[in-house]
Amino acid sequence: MNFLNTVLPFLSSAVSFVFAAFVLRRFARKGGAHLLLWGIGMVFYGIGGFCEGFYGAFGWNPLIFRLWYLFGAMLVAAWLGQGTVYLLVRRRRLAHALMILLVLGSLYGAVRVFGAQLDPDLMTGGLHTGSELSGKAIITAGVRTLTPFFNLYGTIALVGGAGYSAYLFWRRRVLLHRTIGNVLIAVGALLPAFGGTFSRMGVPGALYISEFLGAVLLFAGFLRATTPMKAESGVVVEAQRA
Amino acid sequence: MTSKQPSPRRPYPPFWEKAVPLILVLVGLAVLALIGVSLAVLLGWLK
Repeated sequence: MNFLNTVLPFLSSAVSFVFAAFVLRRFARKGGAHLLLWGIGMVFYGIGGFCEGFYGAFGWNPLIFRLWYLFGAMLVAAWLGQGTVYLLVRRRRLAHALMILLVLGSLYGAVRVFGAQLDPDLMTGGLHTGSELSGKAIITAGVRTLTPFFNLYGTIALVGGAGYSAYLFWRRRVLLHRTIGNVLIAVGALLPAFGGTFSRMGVPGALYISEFLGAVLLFAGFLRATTPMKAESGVVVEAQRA
Repeated sequence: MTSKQPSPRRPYPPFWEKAVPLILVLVGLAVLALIGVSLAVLLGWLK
């Protein structure tokens, strides 16, 4: 058991679940499909981190591995991204159609992951020591091939959506807190995407570190975006008095 | 009759004026790189 393989992923998980609670509480107050989906996405993020910490602390468990791969590796980005789709896409029918595709794809992914043959010894190879979870443990062909589709969709939607929102606010020079918040969200969402890619290429430690930093930045971005800055509040009041 | 004045726009603080577009460009390049890597993985060029 060491910090990188056990404590860090448990920390990521804790940050993710707390963040999910914030988002779902806001959903309970205000509604909005985007908040519900972001909340669900962060629960998935938390499950992934928990499974990583569990593996680091207690060793191999096929159920834990399958939960990690399904929720942490495959579905997180796509469900978070779908939340952004609901926020930004005006044509509701398109958002609903993509949601249906995501649900069906997720169910299919679950069936494939839970039916896949596993070999934990395959996680040791190249630079990997086997001390962190890796999709290399999946023997069955075609399962890992699904993941890039989910991750691409989610990354483009979440990072692209946050970046686009930040750009719009910056161009109009309004709501600085939302500009900064969206920048933090865009960067935060990118980090685990890169971490997963580097992990796939055999760079140890990249995944867990990037997941933790990603969770922190996503949370910070959400808090920043939903909390107007004092200087902005003053400008709004002055504008109303003029 | 009073005419409606647009709300006064203030530029962002200098740091954010420059940092936001730079970060967004870097984020865009990073997304393109990720798309490239993902496609390379799907096409079997990278494992």
